[in-house]
Amino acid sequence: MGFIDEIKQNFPKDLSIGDSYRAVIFGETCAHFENVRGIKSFSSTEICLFLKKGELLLAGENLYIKSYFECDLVVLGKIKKIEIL
Amino acid sequence: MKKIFVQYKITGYNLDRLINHLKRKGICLYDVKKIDVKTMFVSVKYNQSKNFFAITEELCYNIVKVKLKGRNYPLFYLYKNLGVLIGAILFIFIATYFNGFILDVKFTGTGSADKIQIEKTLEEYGVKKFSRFSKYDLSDLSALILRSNKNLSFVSCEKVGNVLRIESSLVKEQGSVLTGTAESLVCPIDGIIENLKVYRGSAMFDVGEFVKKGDVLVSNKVVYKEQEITVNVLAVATILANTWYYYESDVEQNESAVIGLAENSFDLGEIASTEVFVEQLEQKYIYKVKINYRQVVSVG
Repeated sequence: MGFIDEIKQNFPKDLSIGDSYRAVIFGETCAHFENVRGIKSFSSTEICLFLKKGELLLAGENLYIKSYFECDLVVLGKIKKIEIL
Repeated sequence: MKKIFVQYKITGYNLDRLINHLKRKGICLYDVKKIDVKTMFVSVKYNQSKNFFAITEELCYNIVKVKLKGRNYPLFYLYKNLGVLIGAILFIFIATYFNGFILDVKFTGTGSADKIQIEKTLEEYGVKKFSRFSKYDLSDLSALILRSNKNLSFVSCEKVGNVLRIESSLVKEQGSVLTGTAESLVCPIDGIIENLKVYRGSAMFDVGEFVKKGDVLVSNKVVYKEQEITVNVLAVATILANTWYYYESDVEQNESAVIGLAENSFDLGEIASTEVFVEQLEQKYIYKVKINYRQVVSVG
């Protein structure tokens, strides 16, 4: 995850979504989330995440979790929508 | 073991809950793909697979190990199957070592008709089965075979696997064109028949018989189905003949020099052997050289 850390260091704070978690989107195919509490639901078209405050919905096609450990989650696939619930 | 992953297929309900449970227990999950509501694939690091099974043992999920994968998997496989690695190394060593041995000699091309002569040359050079290719210079061998055999116009020796392949071509014979109109094969000199090949016609003498100049060696009359028919003769004969050379000198000469003089003074075929007889009369030396030579006669 060295590449992700490097990206995060260069990413301005004011562009992160909210205070409790961080989301980094790479084009339409990759999304990296930090401070994720858990997964509410998971399918190839929709992933719903538990955040510290609220939930986050990811919608798209052929979605799958590339890696999930501690509080970091990386999702790959065709991401069409990200919604904070 | 860092880059080795184990992929599992998990079947059951509430797979999302399982993912969260594993994450809370410290298992890192990779490539989590849901196939349908009850089935998903998940990959776990190899060194965490025991923990993974310990955690899921008491849960109501069917877990099947699918495969091992990862960048270091080939090395890991060799480590686990050391016998395969040793076998592969042994095979490579044996194949490389034994690849250098001559197991067979093959003759190709029109020159293979002269195989016996080529084999004699190979024996003189020391080439034999089960010797190593590296002992011989194949280009030198080709040149040696070509020099020692006048019937060949081209020789090439090459290594093909464990086989020494010798490709050779015969010298194209000059002059004799098949006309198809020969009536008989007549002997041009006195001598003994050393070799007689009759392709068409009737042989009148056998190999080893003495023949004189003018004798018909092969006639054009052939008995076919109890009838005598006339054919165009096609035959080759080798006659072993001899001639004498006389040389006088006031001083004693070297015999080999006299032989050389004798051979150069006649335009004979292939010289088979020479014998020198020396007589001393008063103050003169008389050398008598008997030259045995072969003459090939053919018709067709």
